[in-house]
Amino acid sequence: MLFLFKKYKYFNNRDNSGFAIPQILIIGIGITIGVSGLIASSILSLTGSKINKQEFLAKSSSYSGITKIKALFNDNNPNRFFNFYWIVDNCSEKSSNCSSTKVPIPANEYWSDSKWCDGEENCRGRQKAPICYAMDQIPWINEQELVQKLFTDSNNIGTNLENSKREFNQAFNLISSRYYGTEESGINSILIEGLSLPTNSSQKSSSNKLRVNIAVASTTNESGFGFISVGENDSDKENSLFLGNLTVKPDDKAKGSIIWRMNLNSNDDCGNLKTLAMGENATIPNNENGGLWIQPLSMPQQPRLKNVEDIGTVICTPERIARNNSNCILNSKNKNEKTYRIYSIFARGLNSKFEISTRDNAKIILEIIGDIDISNGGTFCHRDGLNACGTGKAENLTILFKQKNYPKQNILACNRENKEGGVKIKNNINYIDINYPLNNDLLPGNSFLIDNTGKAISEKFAAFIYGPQLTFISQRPNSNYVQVTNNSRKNDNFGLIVTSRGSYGYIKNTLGTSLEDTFTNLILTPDLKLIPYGNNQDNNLYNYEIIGFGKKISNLPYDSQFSQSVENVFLIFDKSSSTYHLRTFNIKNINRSTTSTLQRSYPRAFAILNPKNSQNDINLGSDLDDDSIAKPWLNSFGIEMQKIDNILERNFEGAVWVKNFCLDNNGTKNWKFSKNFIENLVSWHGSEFNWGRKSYRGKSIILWDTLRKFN
Amino acid sequence: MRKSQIYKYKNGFGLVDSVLSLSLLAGIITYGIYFSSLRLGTIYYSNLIRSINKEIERDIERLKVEFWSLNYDKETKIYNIDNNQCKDFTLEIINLPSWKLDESSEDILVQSWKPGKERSKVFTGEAVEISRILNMSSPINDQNLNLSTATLDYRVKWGENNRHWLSIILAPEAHGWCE
Repeated sequence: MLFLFKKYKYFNNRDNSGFAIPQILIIGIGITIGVSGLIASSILSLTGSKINKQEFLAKSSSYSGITKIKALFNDNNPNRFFNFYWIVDNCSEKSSNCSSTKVPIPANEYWSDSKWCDGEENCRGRQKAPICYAMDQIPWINEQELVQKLFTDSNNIGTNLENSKREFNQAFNLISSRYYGTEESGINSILIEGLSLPTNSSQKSSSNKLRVNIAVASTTNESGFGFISVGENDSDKENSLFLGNLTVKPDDKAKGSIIWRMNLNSNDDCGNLKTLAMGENATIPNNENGGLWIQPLSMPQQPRLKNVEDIGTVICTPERIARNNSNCILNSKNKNEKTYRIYSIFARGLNSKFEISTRDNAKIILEIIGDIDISNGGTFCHRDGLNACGTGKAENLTILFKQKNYPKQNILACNRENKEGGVKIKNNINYIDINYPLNNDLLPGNSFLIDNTGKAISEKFAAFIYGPQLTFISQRPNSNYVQVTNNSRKNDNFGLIVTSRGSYGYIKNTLGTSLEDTFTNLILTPDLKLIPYGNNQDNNLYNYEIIGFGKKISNLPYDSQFSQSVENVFLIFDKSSSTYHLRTFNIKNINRSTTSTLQRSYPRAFAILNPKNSQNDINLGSDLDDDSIAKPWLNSFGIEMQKIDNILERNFEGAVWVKNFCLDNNGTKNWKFSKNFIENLVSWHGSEFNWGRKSYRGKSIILWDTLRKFN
Repeated sequence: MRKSQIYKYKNGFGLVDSVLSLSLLAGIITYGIYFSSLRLGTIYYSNLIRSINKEIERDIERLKVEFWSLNYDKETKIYNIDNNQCKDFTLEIINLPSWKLDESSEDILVQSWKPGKERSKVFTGEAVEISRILNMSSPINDQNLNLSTATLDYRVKWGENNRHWLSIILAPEAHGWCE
């Protein structure tokens, strides 16, 4: 009360006396509020700076994480396969996008591809990475473990500095990485969390959640370029390759790969790769320079065609070459690029020759619907302009195969049953119950047989062969005799044995102009099966090579039971007894005699060998020059045979991308390719033709998105 | 009369009033000065943190640009790099224009600098020393892999303080183009 009274007095003090305390108090309160405010704001500023620092640390952590994973997956070490992790999905346990923690082995991941699977059960597609690795390479399981650690552990950043106090540790957690795209290119989307962690606490003080999208591209370097590619679809497996004694020049220093398009279940299936490829005697680039790469890579689409001219079936016997405007001699007709559509090319027998002239500014594409047969003395002469045979450059000639049927039953494959090599027919189901016209999908695919690349060692066959369904064969026949076809018109037999669809066939009249004359026909055994060229399979009931076509031109020798009414025969070499035989046959038409059949290069008929008996088969012995037995019979059927020099060296240059690549173990076979060839091929057909084993690399960062949450 | 002069002077403040108010004023001024200096210290520290962060960030950005352009051929617009370089990028990094800051440095892998006031007023007197230490390594602990990642540890010294400020991993873009 007294105080109030005094206060009352003070407030009512109207004289000159004063009291300073209230004023000081008021000033004090003012100063306190002001100073406190300033203090609060500066503390706020300090807290902000500290938080900013922690954010900076967290951002640096996430950036470091991205750098680290990019550097790891981009590592080029030839013994490592980390780059394939760009194209698979990886999940940590923190990821809400994945049902479980998963860091796969890329070789166990597949590209979906119905064309590759071709209706095969349990086919998962094409393997994203090779499962085979060389001796000095790190097994997949190790790589998986290392990548898994990145996704499961918290990854610390930085090294502890001596005498320096560290307030915050830094770390990053990889949440997931997901690939969107194709085998060639795409985007890898990475979720990552950068952390700042106080050294004196287990709690995180700041985190930086990011989604980072990195553009991923595939590249094929010189050593990855596929100068040989084999395998069409999943069912081919190892049957698509027989390397034999192929030598890749210049030996071990060559850079380039043999791409074997095949899925394998485990590394145990790989074994010794050269043995697997039936190439114990082969010399191929070592692993660092390419070598043998087993992975079903997707192939580029066929090259684009310009200035297409249809010239039908090309049969290049000596007489046909001599004709005016023969299609056996081709050039680009003054065009930079010219395409010839050809149903089949046959240059088989002595002095048969198919000739083509190209230049850097006069390139040629041969679009082949059916088969090519360059064998038994026939040659494929590729010139550079007017220069000699064998001077043509591989990069100026592309041979493109466009098979019209889709074999479902009898499939061509390499013969791997023994060291002989060559081809065989998988299944080789007989043609008993067939309709007319034939469902041509019951026939095997087309083939390219070349057993001779020129007499001179300098001569070579040089081209880029693109035939995803084609069987490439280079195999010498067992018989040394070849038929001389209309060389000097000594008789009226103008028939020609050819190799079509990897099997023996014939053309009735090589000089004829009618459809019926120039159709190819296939030869069947008495039990109605096709006879694969060379016929090297073990346990083969009909161990034949068909080497000649005969047409009766005079009476037959009397002292035999051989059917006198027969008009045509085949000359057969029986490999089991090394004897020659004449054998009768019956014709069964299987396709209509129309232009459409010819354009699709379908066979007109089956020639079915009659069973071996005295009416149908004459044994001519082992010497066709024998005047007492062989000669009279051969003369009666207008068959002129000649012994051929065994040309032991075959030289190839360029690239061949086919379904089956079937060589033999005879003679010498050289394959040459160069960086110059690759560059010119790419400049002609496009960058997708720099094709082969791929390595992936993360390139530019195309999205850097800060997230609140990961889901 | 004397009593009234001691306790109350009719035309001014009394003695007690004066003493109390002066004490109070002194207290308030002391408080104000103390807290002002405290505030200045806080602001200085806050500015120091911010400025060091910015200084380090600038340094990192400069290095990032040079890491990106390492082995880049502007004319052909491709990265030209041979396999020996791919195995270890240390030499390339220490030869970057932005790497070498201290000519007198005994260890090329450790570079220190004292930012001046042109960078921030808080650096006036060059009392702050920032060091970056390069540590080349492979992305994971595996001897067979390329030494492609550069871990940069930043250390900051001022007064009695010696702090490990920040660490970051950088990698040359060219590494992605090794064959």
